[in-house]
Amino acid sequence: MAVTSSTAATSSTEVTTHAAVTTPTAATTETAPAFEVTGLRFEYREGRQVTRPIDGVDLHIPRGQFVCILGPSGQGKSTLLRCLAGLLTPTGGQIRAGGVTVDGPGADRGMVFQQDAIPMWLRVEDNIAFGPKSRGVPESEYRPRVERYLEEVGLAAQRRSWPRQLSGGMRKRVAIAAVFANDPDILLMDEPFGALDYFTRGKLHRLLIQLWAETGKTICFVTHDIDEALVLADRILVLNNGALAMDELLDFPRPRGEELRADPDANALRARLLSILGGEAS
Amino acid sequence: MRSAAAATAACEDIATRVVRGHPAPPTPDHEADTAATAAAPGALITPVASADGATDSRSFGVRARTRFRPTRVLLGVAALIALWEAVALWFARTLEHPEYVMPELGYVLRVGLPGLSDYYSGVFGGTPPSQGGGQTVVQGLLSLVEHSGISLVRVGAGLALGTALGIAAGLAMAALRPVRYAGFGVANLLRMLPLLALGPLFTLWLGPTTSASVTFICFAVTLTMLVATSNAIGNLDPDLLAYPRTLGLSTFATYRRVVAPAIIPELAAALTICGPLAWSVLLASEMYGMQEGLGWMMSEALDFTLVDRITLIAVAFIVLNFVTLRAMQALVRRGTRWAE
Repeated sequence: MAVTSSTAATSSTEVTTHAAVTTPTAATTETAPAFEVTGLRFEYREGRQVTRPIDGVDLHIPRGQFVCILGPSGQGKSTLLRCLAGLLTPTGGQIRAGGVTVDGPGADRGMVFQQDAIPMWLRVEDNIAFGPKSRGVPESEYRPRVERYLEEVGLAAQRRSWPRQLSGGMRKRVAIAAVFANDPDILLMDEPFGALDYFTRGKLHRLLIQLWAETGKTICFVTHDIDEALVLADRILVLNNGALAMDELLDFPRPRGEELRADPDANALRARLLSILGGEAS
Repeated sequence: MRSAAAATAACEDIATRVVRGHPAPPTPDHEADTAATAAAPGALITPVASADGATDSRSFGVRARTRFRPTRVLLGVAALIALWEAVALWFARTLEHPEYVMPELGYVLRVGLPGLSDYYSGVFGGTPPSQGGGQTVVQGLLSLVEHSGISLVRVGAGLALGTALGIAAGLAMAALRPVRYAGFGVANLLRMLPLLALGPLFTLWLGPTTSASVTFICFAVTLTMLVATSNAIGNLDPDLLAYPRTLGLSTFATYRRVVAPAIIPELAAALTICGPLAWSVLLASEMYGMQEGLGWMMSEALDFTLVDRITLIAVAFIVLNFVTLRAMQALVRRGTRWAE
């Protein structure tokens, strides 16, 4: 399997040096890490009450890494992801994506949502072509990508179907193919498989890992499911009260399957994660 | 007049009952997922009834939507005729001049239909009363067709213009803050005006012309569609709007490619209300100072309490209103096939 495992030695605490980077050049955007986050804060007010879902997060994510952001609900996972996407404007701190300061959403950071957000009035193939076509990318450029991902996610036979005619798992395949066909550098996934059953989720895990290995894209994947994170991640971040409570690199061999349940290291990590997450819950 | 109002109410009732509902939430099941790739694992436990069949047959006593069935419409018409005749017969026994209250249908056809010749202008090759043309069934029918055509053009133009303007204004209001601040308050204030009372104003401003009718209808439809569009946009899933931004679409592209198509199913309800609304407004418009159209015929007949003629004009209103409704539903259906 491709990409990172050994290269991703940087932990979140070593990020501060990157704050000096100013105007990006072509060279820095080529080589810059996927994300550099410094002193990130996000707060909102309801009446007199101020809530801080993100309260001082520093983070360095190298290119090509598969990062799982883990934590129970209400600990700022989705908020962090939406800040990275540019859908939320942070109250403080800075986010750089590929060396460029984030000040809104962009085609370099694709997103797969928890609930289906794909246009239901576009047939499967039009949905997968939706991003590049709407941005005015020439058809000769995006058409091969659309065909490729139609095949890869196994929906070639359903290319003329409406999303409504598909099952939940198949609609997720459409969403994944659509975001890959738009060819972003980074994929942000917000509990995308949360509503799916165990078997469908397993299939989509394998599909996602396969696409990730082929394309070498950076993936930030939010989940509350420890086992999902263990199967997918190069690196697990645990959020607690809006701050990073744990930052762990994983080097279990891929492909990972049921044998991970018998791996003593994996079980030790699972126990540690459980105790941290369990501690937060109480 | 009373029967025309009843007719409009009846059509509105049909309109609300055949409004196309939102798509039911799809049933998430991994069976379909497996079945698509390999039939074998799912085959053992393939459900006997399809998911669609199951949800259709079990509506739990709630019917959001009634399919249009010609037989039911005919039954309704027959029931209405029977009721009318029963009441008319009762009036015929108790009143000296029942024809001024509720004439029997025989009287309506025998006296009322030729009587409509009085409003005939001579198009289609007949002789108008001003040139000595008499009251005949044919001339009466021609008169009805002539003025129906004039009214239909007015309603069609007003509906088309008003729908386009209302949706465009609603989109502009959602997209542009200055337009929203300037427009929304004004639009809501105008909506508080009793619409039908504005009829004389438009005739005063634009003369007794087709332009006045079309403008009036357009005004009413625009306000309705504007509010409906604003609401429909407000009800959109925020993630549906976030998604195109994460693909790199501009605000304009997001409105064109996501917002506009996404609101169509919710606008369908408003559209089916606008058909009957347009006909009501047309009536109000043509009754003040116009010299053509069904509304003008209605006001002329009303001046002499000719209930037989009013009845026939009301029937024309019902038929045209119904045709408008069906046409609009067909249009909406073309735009919402994905939601079925």
